Amino acid sequence: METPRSFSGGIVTFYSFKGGVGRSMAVANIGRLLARDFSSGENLLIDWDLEAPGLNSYFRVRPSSLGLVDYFSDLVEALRTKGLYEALQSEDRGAILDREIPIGKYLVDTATPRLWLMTAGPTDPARLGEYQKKVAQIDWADLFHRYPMALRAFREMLTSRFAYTLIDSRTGISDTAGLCTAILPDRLMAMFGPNKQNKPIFQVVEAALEFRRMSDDDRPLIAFPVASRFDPADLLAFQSSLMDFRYDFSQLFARVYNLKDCDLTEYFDQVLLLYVARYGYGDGDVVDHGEPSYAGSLRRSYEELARWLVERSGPWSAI
Amino acid sequence: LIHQLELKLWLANNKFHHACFISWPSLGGPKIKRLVAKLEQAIEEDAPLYGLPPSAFSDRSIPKGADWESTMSRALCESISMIAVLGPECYNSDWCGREWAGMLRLEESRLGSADRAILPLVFQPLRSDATAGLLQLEILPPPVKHLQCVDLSRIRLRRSNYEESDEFDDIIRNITARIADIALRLADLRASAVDCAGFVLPAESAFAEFKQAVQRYPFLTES
Repeated sequence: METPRSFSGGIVTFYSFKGGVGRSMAVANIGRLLARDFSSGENLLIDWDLEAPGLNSYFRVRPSSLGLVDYFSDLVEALRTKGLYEALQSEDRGAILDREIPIGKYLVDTATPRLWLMTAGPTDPARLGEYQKKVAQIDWADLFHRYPMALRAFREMLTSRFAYTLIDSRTGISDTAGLCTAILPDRLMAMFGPNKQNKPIFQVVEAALEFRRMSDDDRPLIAFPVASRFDPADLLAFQSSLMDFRYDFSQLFARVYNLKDCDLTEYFDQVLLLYVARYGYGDGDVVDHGEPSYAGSLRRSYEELARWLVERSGPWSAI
Repeated sequence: LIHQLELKLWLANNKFHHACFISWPSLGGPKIKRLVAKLEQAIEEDAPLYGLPPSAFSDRSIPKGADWESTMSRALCESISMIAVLGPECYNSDWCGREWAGMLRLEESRLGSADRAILPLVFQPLRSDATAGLLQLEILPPPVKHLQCVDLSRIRLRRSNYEESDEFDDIIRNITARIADIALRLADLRASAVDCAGFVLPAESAFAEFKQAVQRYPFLTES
């Protein structure tokens, strides 16, 4: 029987306020699952963690010579010199952008069928200096202020070319984090370890949702909290802290989405990413070559998360 | 049923031809146009159940060649209530501001301080300059902030095609019931719309002092 789809394609950002919660590994494995089990089209992963890139390390890919910063450097150049911005005022701006700056040359094949990767930049260590300069040169706020339609065109191009685009966002509070959480996504996966250091995730999620609510962008933005780094050896402390996070997220969603009831119990029971130390040493491929899927395994957790993402209209929602 | 028939007859005799006048910014684009079309259709379906005229007026129904200003003025005057679809474009629109000012004048002469005839429907809030932590706060112009608003923006945030949802149907039912309450109050006060031929929309927009460009603050870190 075909599963119901609430979300059959779009842009999904994985964000965490702090690092070390397994965000990039989740992007890599959810990407594999979506490409393999949930879509027949092409899918894309983007490494937008420009200060600390590394999504490519979760795949056995050939070295990349071009990536996200190269794409946006070329885009800014075309906007400044080639009159591209005027063309992007048209309704088919996504197709125009793809014709002018074909995204294909900035991608590498992940070896998983129908799954592509856009690295942050060149992966050759010898080109790190050049990469650093390009990162410093891109002024994201200026790009959005001066050329708001360019980011919209980029988003529309992604949506028309790829079934699912997963973005591995920068942590903390920054222009790129704002771009990844508030402006680009259809769904926002808010990852956290249930501890004090991760509490600011609530402010970032609320700011992203309120930004979208007040923006011209007519797309819904659905946030999914994703608890991570669950160590079964520390079950009691984890459970207690997790309940606090669950309660605070349900209060936040009830307020921002104006929901009469927001019960996240089922969702939090099913979506919980384990901490498995040994995956820190390999390529983190849990889905294709890792452990078998059994109740409580990391692989099962990813599968549950992918299912919620695709099949439900929100973390509060029944099928 | 008798109550509804009485109300229907009284409204017809007193020249209230429209259950509501829908004020909306045409610059809001297709998404607002779609909402207005759906509002018109849904209210026209629900209105007769309450004894209200089966008409929701919007400028979409003005025929080509008609005198725009006099048609709008007369339609507003012949309406029991006004639904104001509010978004940033609305506060920049002279027409929306004049319609608000016009209904305010009618409301005061017909209902006094007994009731309100404007029903604000917030489609998209306007961002203010003020922030609280990472949050940018929303702002409502003075004429609006005294009224209880129906907020569509939170439903839009969590569902596409919200106009097709049961939740939206409930909103419409509540709005129509509210229009029926206003109609009953008009009947109680013997307020009529018989001399609408002479009514002219005020020249001044109710949002004149608030008029501003649509603000765009893209980034969370931006002050």
